[in-house]
Amino acid sequence: MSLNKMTLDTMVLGQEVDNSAWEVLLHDPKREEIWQAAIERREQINQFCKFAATWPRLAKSYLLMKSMTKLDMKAPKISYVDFFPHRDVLQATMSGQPINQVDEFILNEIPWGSQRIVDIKSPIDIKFKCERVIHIHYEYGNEKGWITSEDSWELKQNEGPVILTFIDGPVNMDCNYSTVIEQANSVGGIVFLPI
Amino acid sequence: MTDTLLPITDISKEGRLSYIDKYKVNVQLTLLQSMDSLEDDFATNDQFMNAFGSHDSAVDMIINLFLADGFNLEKAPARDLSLFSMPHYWLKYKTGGRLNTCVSYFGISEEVIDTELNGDPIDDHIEYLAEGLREFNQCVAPDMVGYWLMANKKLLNENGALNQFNLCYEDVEQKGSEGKKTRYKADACFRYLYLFLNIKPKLIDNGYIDAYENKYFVRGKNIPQYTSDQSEDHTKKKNVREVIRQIIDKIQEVDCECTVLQACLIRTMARKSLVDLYEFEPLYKREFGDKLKSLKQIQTACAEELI
Repeated sequence: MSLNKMTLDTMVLGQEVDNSAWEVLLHDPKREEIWQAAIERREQINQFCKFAATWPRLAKSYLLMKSMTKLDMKAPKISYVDFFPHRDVLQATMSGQPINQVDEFILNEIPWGSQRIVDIKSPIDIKFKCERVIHIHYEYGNEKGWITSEDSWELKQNEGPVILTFIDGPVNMDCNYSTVIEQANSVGGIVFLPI
Repeated sequence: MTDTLLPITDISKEGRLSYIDKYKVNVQLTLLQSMDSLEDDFATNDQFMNAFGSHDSAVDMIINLFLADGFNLEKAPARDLSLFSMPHYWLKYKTGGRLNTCVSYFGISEEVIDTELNGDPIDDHIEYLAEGLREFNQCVAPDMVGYWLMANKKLLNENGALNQFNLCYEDVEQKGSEGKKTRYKADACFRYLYLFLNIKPKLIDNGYIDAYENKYFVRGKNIPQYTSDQSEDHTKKKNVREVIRQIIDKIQEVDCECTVLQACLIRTMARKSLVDLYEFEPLYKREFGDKLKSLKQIQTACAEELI
């Protein structure tokens, strides 16, 4: 037996549920993972709420992309990194952290087959790391277009959120976004949300 | 965050109509996203679907509930767009709170569950702990519950009655980021014990017990130090620390009369590093560090009585 996601969300929000729900959670050997996943789901919902409140048109595009993400077994590992890691290295050095922990911190894996909203607190440049070149569709403000994983991207607060859709597989630039996604082997997405 | 979430300022029917008129797309998107995120893949008896049908029909029905004459926003858990990110609230509202259980059990009848949960006396400690956790969760950030679950893993995995101390604990307090994790686990256990042992009536009021509770038992942001968002001056900080010292003393007094379950919880909490987390003054650091350390011995007295 297990708790459904809505009940877990009610619990994460600190709202009233029956004792029996807590007993079910405590009896579950995976209780810590279940609870952590419920916290992360709520954090993503809260992020989307902020997104939908200010940028509904882009939030709609995000939902479209979300409905079309998929994962193929052969999807290459891809991540993005902060282009200027020296700030973190400096912080790490000052706080006595080993540098290799910083590398782990700034290397963010792109979620094939799913999507994520990431807060951006200050302008940053990001670059991508991938074992082969893949196509990336971008959308922000009234702009849409394509880049590849060999390009970098400058995230600016005043440009609002940026939706990046990562596509593994052949991309025919003459087709529209939806057709490209349909024909792709794997699709994953990230929204960088300025806060 | 509230300002950016389109607050609902006019709670009258006209106010709600005008809100939907202005922000219908935002509301629809929020509802769709939250329903999608909280939908279970293999639900065989989904109460939400039974009540609202498809996601599209649910969006229309929930907006209609929000606009209905009888809807009272004062009783709702939020007064901004986030109200539409809580499909479970609308399910409860629509069914008038008549949900038999908030729990979805896949492929198992509720009758069987009742027997499993209530008919097995050997798991009484889980029942007590769950009751405590329900109360704890309402007043602390969700990560604190996560830390508590981590800290009490062995106790929670224990099957059967706790009639002897066969629980093995990690005594080493670790350094670095693991050290921080250890402290937050101890902090979560300390706060849980405060409620579980009902320490408050045993304290001598220095005028700052409420300040202590407002700091550590009011939900703030889910980020370290997991306290409520309030400012405090030097005097308040100092006096709140005095309350914490009193709590440690009261937990020590529980020592000789505690149950096995209480002893397990105290032992898990007893970490010297709490004096650093709570920023004890140098004068008290050693004394209370030693007191916390001595609480680890609580197992011996109880275990000897029981064996």
